[in-house]
Amino acid sequence: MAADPRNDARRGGVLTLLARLLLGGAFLYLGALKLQDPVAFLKAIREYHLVPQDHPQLLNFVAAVLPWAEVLLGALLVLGVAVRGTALVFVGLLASFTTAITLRALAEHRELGKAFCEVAFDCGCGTGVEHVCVKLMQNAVLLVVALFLVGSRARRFCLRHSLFGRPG
Amino acid sequence: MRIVLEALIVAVLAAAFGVTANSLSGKRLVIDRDYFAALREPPPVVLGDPPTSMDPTDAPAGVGGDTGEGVDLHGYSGPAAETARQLLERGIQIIGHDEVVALYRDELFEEEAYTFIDARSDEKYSAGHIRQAYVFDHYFMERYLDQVLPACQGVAEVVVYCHGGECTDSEIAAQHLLDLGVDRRILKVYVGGIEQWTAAGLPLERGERGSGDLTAEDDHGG
Repeated sequence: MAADPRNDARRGGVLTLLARLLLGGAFLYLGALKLQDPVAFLKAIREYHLVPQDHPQLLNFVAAVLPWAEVLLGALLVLGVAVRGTALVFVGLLASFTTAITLRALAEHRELGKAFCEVAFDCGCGTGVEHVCVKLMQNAVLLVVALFLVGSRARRFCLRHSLFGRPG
Repeated sequence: MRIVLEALIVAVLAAAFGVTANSLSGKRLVIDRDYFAALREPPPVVLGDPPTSMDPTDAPAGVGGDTGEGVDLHGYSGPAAETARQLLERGIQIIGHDEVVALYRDELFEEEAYTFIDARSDEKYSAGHIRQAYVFDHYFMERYLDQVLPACQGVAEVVVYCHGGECTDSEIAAQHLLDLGVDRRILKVYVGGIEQWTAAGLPLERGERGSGDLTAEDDHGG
């Protein structure tokens, strides 16, 4: 008996919905956590030393804007708006966060002589001090989910799957 | 290409939303403000200031940044000692834990001859602060100047603290107060902070200043 393509479409739609809820929900939650204490987030990202000290405006901009952006992007994904584009933004964010965390962990691993997975710090993710390997695993899962969503064309359960073309 | 364009549109919208939401938020960060400038400013070259240690036999510090042998760190060790050295190099006095407790137990404390400044956030202050301390979250310092600056005038000592250890908020807050005209001779940083205060079993006051809601029985003056 030939497979019913409608079943495949339903499964794809449910899988995409679950992925959207996981990724979008995670960033909604993490963004909201950061918004409870923007100063703590500012202090945490300052520790990465990615921004020249004589350009505090860039650091302030990231600290002020990123948590709100995460909340909006998470909401867009949960609601199913501009799904693939939003997922692509998350790919960019997760790749950046993961790179920064890895570089900082490597620096501490060298300076303190600790095993890489023993390194722990407040990454500024909103969840306090965590072991770097745990954080990198979490980011890897979210990155895989984001990449899946970038490639997914399932439109079920979406408010507006794409900003271009037909609604839904 | 469409997906990239969609991503760009979403990213720009998210950034615009972030800027707008931050500007309307009660906890907004000011984009063009240098929150950590006080940590980068070179130590002041001050002539004629008194020594930064209570011991007259100690060499004065804070001029030229020499905090080598012979400088009194008031018993601080570990990360707190490093913070103490940085403060002294910047010409900011430090005060040890025993001296802070002595001020707290002094009868003049009730007459507000000494001002304590808590350089942490409102939330942490409300969770527990040294009794009679004023909150001064320097990240939003405009909110507190009306109360804090008058409280730093005409007193014998101004003691600034934060969490303790590596916390730099007390250093930044102290520098702001000095820049706003508080007398350098009376301003001191309690490097041990709330961490050392609570480790010693000393009481904290919860809620607002003067609430009387103490975490433990206060044998102040008793």
